[in-house]
Amino acid sequence: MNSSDIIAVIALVISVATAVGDVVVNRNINKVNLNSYYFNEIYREHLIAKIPKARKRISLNYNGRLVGYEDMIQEMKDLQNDSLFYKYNDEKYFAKLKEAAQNMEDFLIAGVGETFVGEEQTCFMEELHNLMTELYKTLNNQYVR
Amino acid sequence: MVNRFELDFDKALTKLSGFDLGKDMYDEQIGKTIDFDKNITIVIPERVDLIGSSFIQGFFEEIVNSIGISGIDERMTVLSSIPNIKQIIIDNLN
Repeated sequence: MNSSDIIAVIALVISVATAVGDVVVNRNINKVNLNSYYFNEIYREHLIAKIPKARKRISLNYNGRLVGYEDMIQEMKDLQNDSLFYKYNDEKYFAKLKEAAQNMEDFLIAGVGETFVGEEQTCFMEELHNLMTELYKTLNNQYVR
Repeated sequence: MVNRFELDFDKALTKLSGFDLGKDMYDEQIGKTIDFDKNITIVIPERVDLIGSSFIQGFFEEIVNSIGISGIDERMTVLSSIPNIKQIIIDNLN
């Protein structure tokens, strides 16, 4: 095999590797696009409107009682129901999302009928904020995967 | 055997949440005597006005495993002061 044969073989190997690389990259891009499409279809309304609007209604009133929680509890149920696609597509994420939604739901249900005074009000609102952050983090992480 | 179960718990409890609470309540009050070959009736006390998805999933887990969500739809009656309780239960099972 002379030097021109070696160069030809190297060129062939490089072009095959490039082609394979392109196929892999394109496949990954298609996968990301498909995942983004499903994510947007499932969560667009939840992320942009339903969750923030439900959160806006929650507050502790003048006598320290939790009010405006109903929409968020319903929204957490709807969110789980609308995420069912992932139960069969990404079971780990589905379990995590379900946990985050149920933590929010259970936290609010536990607060109904209670009277929060002074520091308790601050603690309640901080925990609510933490649960919101965890919920959005879980959703965002799924989007950027 | 009458396959009817009236849930009995702390009178101060008007809202049910938590997977473990649901599972414990099922195990203690229903699990040992339920007959999955018959129609099932579950009575939730009138004072209960809110049920979380976690409780529903804990309470109904074994029932879903035994007769499926379709079995719950077809053969279970749930009495409660919460409107459309059966549909709420089915919607929250997964």
